Amino acid sequence: MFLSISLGFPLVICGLMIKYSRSGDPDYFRAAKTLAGVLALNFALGAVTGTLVEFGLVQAWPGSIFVIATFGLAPLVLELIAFVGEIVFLLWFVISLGKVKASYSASIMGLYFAFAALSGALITAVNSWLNAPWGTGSIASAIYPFLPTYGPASADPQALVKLKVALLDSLLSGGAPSQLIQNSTVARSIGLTLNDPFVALSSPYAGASILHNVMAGVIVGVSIALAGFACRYFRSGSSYHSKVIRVVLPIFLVLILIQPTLFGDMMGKAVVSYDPTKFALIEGASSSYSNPLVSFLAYGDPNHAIVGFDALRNATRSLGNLTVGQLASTVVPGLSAGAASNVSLAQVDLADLASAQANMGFVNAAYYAMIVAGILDVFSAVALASFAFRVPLLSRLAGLVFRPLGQRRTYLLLGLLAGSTSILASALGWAVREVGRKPWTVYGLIYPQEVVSPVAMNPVVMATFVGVFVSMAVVGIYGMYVFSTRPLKFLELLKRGAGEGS
Amino acid sequence: MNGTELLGFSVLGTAVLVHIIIVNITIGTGWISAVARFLGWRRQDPALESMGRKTFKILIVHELFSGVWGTIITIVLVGFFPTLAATVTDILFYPLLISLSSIIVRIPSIALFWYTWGKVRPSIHSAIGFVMALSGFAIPFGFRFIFAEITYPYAIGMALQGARDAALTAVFSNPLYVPLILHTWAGALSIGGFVVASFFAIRGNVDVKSAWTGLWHGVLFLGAQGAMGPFYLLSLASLAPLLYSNVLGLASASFDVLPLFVLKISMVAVLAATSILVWRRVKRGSGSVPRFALLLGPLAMAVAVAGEFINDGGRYPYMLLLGTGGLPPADFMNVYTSLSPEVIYGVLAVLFLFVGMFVAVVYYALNRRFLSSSPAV
Repeated sequence: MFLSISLGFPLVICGLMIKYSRSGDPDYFRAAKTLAGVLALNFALGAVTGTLVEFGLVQAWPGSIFVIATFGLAPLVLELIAFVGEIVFLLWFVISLGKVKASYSASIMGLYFAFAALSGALITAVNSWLNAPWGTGSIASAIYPFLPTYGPASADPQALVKLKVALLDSLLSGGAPSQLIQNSTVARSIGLTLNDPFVALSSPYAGASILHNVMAGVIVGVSIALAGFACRYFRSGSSYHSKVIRVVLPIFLVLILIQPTLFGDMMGKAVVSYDPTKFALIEGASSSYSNPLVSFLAYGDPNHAIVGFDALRNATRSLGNLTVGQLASTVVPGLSAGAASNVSLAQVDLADLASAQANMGFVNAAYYAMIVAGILDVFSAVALASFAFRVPLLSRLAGLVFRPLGQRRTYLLLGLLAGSTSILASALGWAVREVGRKPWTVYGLIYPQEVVSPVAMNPVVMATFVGVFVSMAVVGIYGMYVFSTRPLKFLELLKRGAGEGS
Repeated sequence: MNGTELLGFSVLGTAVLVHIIIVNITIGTGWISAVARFLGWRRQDPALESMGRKTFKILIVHELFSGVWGTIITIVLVGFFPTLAATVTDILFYPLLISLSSIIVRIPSIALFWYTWGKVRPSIHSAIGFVMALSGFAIPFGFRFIFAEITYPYAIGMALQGARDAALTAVFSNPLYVPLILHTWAGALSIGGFVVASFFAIRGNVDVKSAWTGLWHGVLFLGAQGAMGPFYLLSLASLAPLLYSNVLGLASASFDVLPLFVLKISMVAVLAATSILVWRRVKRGSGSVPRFALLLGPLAMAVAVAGEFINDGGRYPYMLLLGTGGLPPADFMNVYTSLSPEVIYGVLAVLFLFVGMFVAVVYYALNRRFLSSSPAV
């Protein structure tokens, strides 16, 4: 949510500043100033959750350090620039707001948004690599015949196989696989793994994910602003709030129409192409079946059968009696797979498919709940826009339906519907993306058990940590609420703090 | 060290130095602000409370930027030295958890302290202030175990000998840690005090009483450093003899940083002398603030940079010290992939460009607009 506000509020602030620049109406400036304060507080809380994610990744899942040091290295190094840029331009905006021309302030906020979006894009690229390990070529498909080839072989197949065998061997012999990379001798024995450190950025899966996920974040942020002003309008009935809503609404409408028709479609096709188990989970396809509409959307061919888990299982037959040891020695002559030597690859595949299929109920339900939320989101945007502006035919229809409620109640109802369904659709989308990737952390290559920390967490320590985090999140959200509802008090306070009027 | 290793070592060191400068300011000013607010309430002294508010603004404009450089350190450590990062996240799991929890408390409590000023009872607000200030001290409390361990690998050594589970808690018994953390805390408090003194010497911000409060904090903890510094140095003599030799330029040194150590001590002397001169003019808040009081903050920060460089860069050519020798960065470096020097230099150039912009914005915020007219944060 914090990230979404970081992405959505800048567009709203830009819109308000441009409107202020053209009209000279101080209400737009006042609204922009209030949102800027919330954005600054939100950024602080986003830094907290970002730190938690960052540390959580390397501390709770230390095996992920290998990913960060290889495929994630270039995107994350570039992300540093984006992160620092965000801070500098946000600070610059806050400091100069009201002191420079409104158009300059809008430009500075635009630069902030550019860096925030770049940051989101680069982090999404790393997450996308976990979903579709681009640059590993045919390694995953050699283990799982139902998986596609993931781009060029930018990674050394021998190094990846040595790593995978070492992880499996450690896992099967009761060790702690994630500790392997602590050993510099093991690290050297794996050797140079990746020839093109930028390969994760050239993934078509990452491209679709970046557009889809960044847009989702922007939509959630804008919808929170919309819902907030709708609530305030319901309480106050002030023209100030309705004016602001009329600035936010067109932005929200354009975004919410682009997302499903363009970026959602691109994302769906990427999942079909690169995450076959996730697609089968989404469509509840225990067995292959026909659905012309879904098939047309997914494959561009209404006659194409939706590939189910039966077909995926059938694909594993091509492995015959091949063992992990045999596959390993084929890629790296002389390599011993240790405890995994005699494990049948087909058995591994079938067990992993069964593990994935166990999540079908959740993923299928979550995906279609997301679709329903998205439809309601589009409805709320179109209905509110039709009610607030003159749109041929639609405005008459909206008037018939909502006029009995009155303008304030209608704004409240549709604003809250937009905010809640945006958040719901985004959260469910992420749940489908992450749970649908299981049983792998890196799709088709690495299991969660191979990267998790071996440190046993004391329940008291864990409860304390969670308690601290939840308390701070609640306090922070309350702070943003109070700030956004009582901005003048806040400014008075700051003036007193600056020694003015105290 | 070859070129790549030196580059990784230098990039990590640079990020640590930038981070340390800003963090020392935020920890010190956070504490002074909380204390000033508390004393302002107890003594019913509005000037003291106002000083606390103004001091807190110094923290606010620096805090997020210090966090960014913390993130940069993490990425550089994980990306360039994955073997070391994997070891640290495992053996130092609990100290890192303390730092992480403290960060989670620190940032929202800053926002809370900022907002609730004047909105809640002074006793509650003071309590929030102390939570904010103490969480600032707790962050290095966890992270400094990493520095203690790479200088004297007490727990890591146990883990390497097979006692990994015991090492997880034994890390708290590292004998080098206590002098290091005391040296760190006293340094942060001293820098915070001198930065505050300098801030209230800027034209437009001049406030003799506030400058005096900053000055006595700075001087008090600079005096404490007179004990902490030698305590740490003597601990190095027995626990990390190579670093000790390098600091003092002894015959067994692998990298002579004595000239820098001499420079540091000289700067401390100049800082002490300047403090005395300012002290005489300020007269416990009843005199005037001389213009040269502006030097106090930058001088204190320069001392911190020199000290941190000596402690971190002074281990060259090793990353992890083992008595009179050590393990080179090559043992911890990323062998899986590499970024070209052009990319690294390009990223560094942009980062430093942003540092320059940040400094300009901070100057603008603190000296020109932020305090003289309606603040908008």
